[in-house]
Amino acid sequence: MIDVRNVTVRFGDAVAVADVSLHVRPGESFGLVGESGSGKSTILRTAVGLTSDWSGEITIDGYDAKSTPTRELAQRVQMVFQDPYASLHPRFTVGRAIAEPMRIQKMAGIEERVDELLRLIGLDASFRSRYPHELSGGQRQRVAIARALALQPKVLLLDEPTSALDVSVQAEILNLLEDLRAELDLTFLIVSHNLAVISHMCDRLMVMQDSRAVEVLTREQLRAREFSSPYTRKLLEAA
Amino acid sequence: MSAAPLVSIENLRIAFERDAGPVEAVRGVSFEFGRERLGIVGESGSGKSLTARALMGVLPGHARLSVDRMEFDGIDLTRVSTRTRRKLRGERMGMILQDPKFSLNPVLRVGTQIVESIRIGDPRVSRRAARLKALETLEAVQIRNPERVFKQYPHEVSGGMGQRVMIAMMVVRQPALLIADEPTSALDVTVQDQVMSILDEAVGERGMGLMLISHDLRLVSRFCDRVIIMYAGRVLETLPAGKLAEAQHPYTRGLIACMPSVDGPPGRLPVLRRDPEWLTS
Ligand SMILES: Nc1ncnc2c1ncn2[C@@H]1O[C@H](COP(=O)(O)OP(=O)(O)OP(=O)(O)O)[C@@H](O)[C@H]1O
Ligand SMILES: Nc1ncnc2c1ncn2[C@@H]1O[C@H](COP(=O)(O)OP(=O)(O)OP(=O)(O)O)[C@@H](O)[C@H]1O
Ligand SMILES: [Mg+2]
Ligand SMILES: [Mg+2]
Repeated sequence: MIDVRNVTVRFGDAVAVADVSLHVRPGESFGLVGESGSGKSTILRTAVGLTSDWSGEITIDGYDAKSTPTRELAQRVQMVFQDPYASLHPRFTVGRAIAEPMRIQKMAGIEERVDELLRLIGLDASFRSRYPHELSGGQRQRVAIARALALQPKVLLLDEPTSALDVSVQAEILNLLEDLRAELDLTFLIVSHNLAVISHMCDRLMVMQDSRAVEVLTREQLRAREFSSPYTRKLLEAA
Repeated sequence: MSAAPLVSIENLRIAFERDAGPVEAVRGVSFEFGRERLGIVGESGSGKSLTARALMGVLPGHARLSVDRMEFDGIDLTRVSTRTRRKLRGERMGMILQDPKFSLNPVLRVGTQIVESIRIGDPRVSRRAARLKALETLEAVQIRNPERVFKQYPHEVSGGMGQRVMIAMMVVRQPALLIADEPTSALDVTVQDQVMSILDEAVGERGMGLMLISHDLRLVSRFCDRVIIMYAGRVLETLPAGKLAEAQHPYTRGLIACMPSVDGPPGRLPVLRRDPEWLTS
């Protein structure tokens, strides 16, 4: 479903992602963990067309990330950004922010769908008219998740989706994501620094360090502490 | 703790005007703290960030604030001029905002901002010395390539790097009070521990007061002295941080139960059943 082959991403002379490959099966939930600054967000951003200087190949649901028009790609893959403040337009109300992708795609029944999505993420209808700066950090993150779900994409790229949420809301959102994955047959690529979240959500995971892939593990291997790299060991032992 | 607390807040209320009339987001919060590490945890939207912003004097303009008492180091914050408050913010109180990139100046290089911050803390430091100190601090917060990050703009650093830049910037200023709002939410445990030990040093060696707002119960219980639990704009309970696991309130107990663990069972996570009584009791 998501195929990343030998991808290298550069910013000027700096290499942010060095020859990384990963393959996520349809319906699978795949985790990306590792050092801060190791290139996790950059891989996700590249997959949705937000970086320019890269080589290698990425296909999502058979669509080539480089050549498919953004609007068409957006119907299949949506991303929840690490920094919800930056991803929500400051002058759009919550209602408009969630409706916007549907308006661009000229969908029908947008208003009802917005209400439904707000209910799904646990915010009541009074939030429709609020602006991002009138929300708490966790509320903004939930709006970003609703917005990503609006177009019913097949693939969700989630960058630290719950790190701004308290553990009770986190549990609700993780349960919601799991239900949606089962119901709608979604495929997830999840970045999180929280190994407990990854172990709960993901069938397999890749560990990254210094722009490279260190190893790929199954959930069972993670739980049995069967790692080959000392970095993974360090990461897990501290947790 | 010495006689006068570093911070003392009594009956803090913050309201916003809505179509249906004013709504209180913070509903009578009171607490005191000294040169210690105070953790604040609680429901998303419970008023943690607003409480911190009220103390710093940076509430949004349309917020309506009322408070019986709000003091910092013996200074009555409800009576001082805006100018004094600004001066306090520059020199003696620091805050790391929940959205690090939002609080960095987007058009200035990261290094320039840290250097400025050092020189606000101590104007006698030369540019050169400040530059060296800035690089040292970036290294101390575990930035892999300090020279490169020094020259980057905020939008060019990763989420966790941005958080560490903010921490570096605030710590070098040597404030008497530091409020850190989710300062390490994007960092894995290994880096988190190292970064927190820098804050710890400032508390231990310089007697800084630290208010740590975090959703990370493990972090708070390991790192803080006391912890305040907030819910719907009020303080539910205050505990010694090491005793978080023995919390009595059903909300706090529910929070602990909601946490996933690496070896936890598959299937749905337990969720919290919110009791309307928590709003008033
Ligand atoms: N627009 C940009 N210009 C220059 N460098 C960039 C840009 N975006 C990212 N980088 C660099 O690429 C590297 C990887 O960043 P990325 O955001 O992918 O890390 P990450 O693994 O997501 O880290 P974190 O866990 O801290 O969010 C970093 O060194 C970062 O500074
Ligand atoms: N500028 C604003 N205008 C209107 N309402 C606001 C504003 N800022 C915050 N609020 C509301 O006040 C309540 C408390 O917000 P606050 O940011 O303090 O929450 P928080 O406890 O920090 O939550 P989180 O853990 O999600 O960051 C929320 O319901 C929020 O929607
Ligand atoms: Mg990132
Ligand atoms: Mg907050």
